[in-house]
Amino acid sequence: MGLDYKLVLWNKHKKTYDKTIALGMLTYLLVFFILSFLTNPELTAETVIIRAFGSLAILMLHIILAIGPLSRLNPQFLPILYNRRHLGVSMFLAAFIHGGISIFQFHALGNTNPIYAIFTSNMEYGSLINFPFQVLGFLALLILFLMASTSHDFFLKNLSPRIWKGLHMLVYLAYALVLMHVFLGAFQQETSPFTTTFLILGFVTISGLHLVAAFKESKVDGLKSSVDDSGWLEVCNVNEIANNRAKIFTVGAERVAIFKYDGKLSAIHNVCKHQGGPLGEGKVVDGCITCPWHGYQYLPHNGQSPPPFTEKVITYELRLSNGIIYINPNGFSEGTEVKPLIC
Amino acid sequence: MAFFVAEFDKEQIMIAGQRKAHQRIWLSMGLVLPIFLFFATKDLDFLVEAEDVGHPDQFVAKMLENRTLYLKLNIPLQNPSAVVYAVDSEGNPGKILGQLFGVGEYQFILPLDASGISVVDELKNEKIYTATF
Repeated sequence: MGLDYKLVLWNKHKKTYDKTIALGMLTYLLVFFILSFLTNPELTAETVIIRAFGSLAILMLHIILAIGPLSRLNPQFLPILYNRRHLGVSMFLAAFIHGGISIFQFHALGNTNPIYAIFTSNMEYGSLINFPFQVLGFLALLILFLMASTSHDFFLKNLSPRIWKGLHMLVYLAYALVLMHVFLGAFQQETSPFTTTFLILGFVTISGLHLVAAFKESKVDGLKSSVDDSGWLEVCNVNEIANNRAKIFTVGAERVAIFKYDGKLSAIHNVCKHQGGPLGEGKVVDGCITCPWHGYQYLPHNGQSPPPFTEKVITYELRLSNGIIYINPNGFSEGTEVKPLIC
Repeated sequence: MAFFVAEFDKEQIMIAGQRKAHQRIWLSMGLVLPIFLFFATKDLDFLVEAEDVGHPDQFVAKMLENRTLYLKLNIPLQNPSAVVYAVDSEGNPGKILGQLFGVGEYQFILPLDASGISVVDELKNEKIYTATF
């Protein structure tokens, strides 16, 4: 939860994740350098650096793109989401070093502006095999820069979650550009079955994970329930919800999380105000519903973040009849207090 | 307790819309990118050693009329410098004809005493390509 854009939950786990990222990157680079100098001693240091950071950035991009759908398919991956933004910024740094050294190596030694030279040194835009692949990498780098520079909560707050999320969905375009950059560039010059297979398998895995997760989501969205005479929707038996946990239920096009805690039931909108995390996949910690993504918290009975925080979500009215929970599909305004249902 | 009206609708559109957007993006990418990857890789020769790939086809050089040399660079050079020299019959470099700046087509006028060209990386002091006519 943030106030003045400072992370409150900067706990030892987050520090561990950051250290793991740094250690992983350093280990990869070290192994890459050693293997390159052992197997290709004729390569120049610049070439090895460009390849090492480029391949590292691609590997990290695959990991980043897998975290989202994996978390949707298996909640055990949710803790990794805590640090996805840090992983994204680290990936951008690797891509920036790759792009920066490449531009210097191939375009900065002439009398033409290096950025202009990227777009004009090869004008075979009509050819697939001889396409100016550096342009694709440069455009991907611009997108990654835009994302890394707006990753802080300051921009999330000021741009609004909707615009921010839309902006950060450009990562998919960046991924497509990176794939084309590699297939039309490196692979045309130096064909390696290992790297080509790795990237094809990577694409199949990432797109497969996203599609499986998306169809799973749409199946949940499509679930319909019976409506009683007063227009309330039947949810489930009260025993189906574990203590301090929730059941997610679709109301119209949106989802509601119905939490059971301390012998009570409360329902709030499932979407966290921070980054749209699924509140219903979190749990009640210290009396607060805690978002599984970044730890934003809300009070179950009014959907408000505890003071001094100001986030609020929509609340819903519940009814219990013969052990069956019913929900009024008409939500109240954000932060409206609703008396918890005793169960 | 006031009933929620306008903002709820907006919120519904945003979140449900994002889910649909994700699904459409990945469906499109799942359909389009494999076609692209197929065409990008169908002519790759995985059996050739990495060092040999591209070099035979990297340059195309032929003599046109009036001692005009046509030189085409098909694949980007990894060398930071590529100077084109005219060479004599014994392969000794002579007059500088020009520089290669990237993939593309070049034309140079060969001196009368030249019997070929040599592309040299001046920074690494390395011969990249030679052709005789």
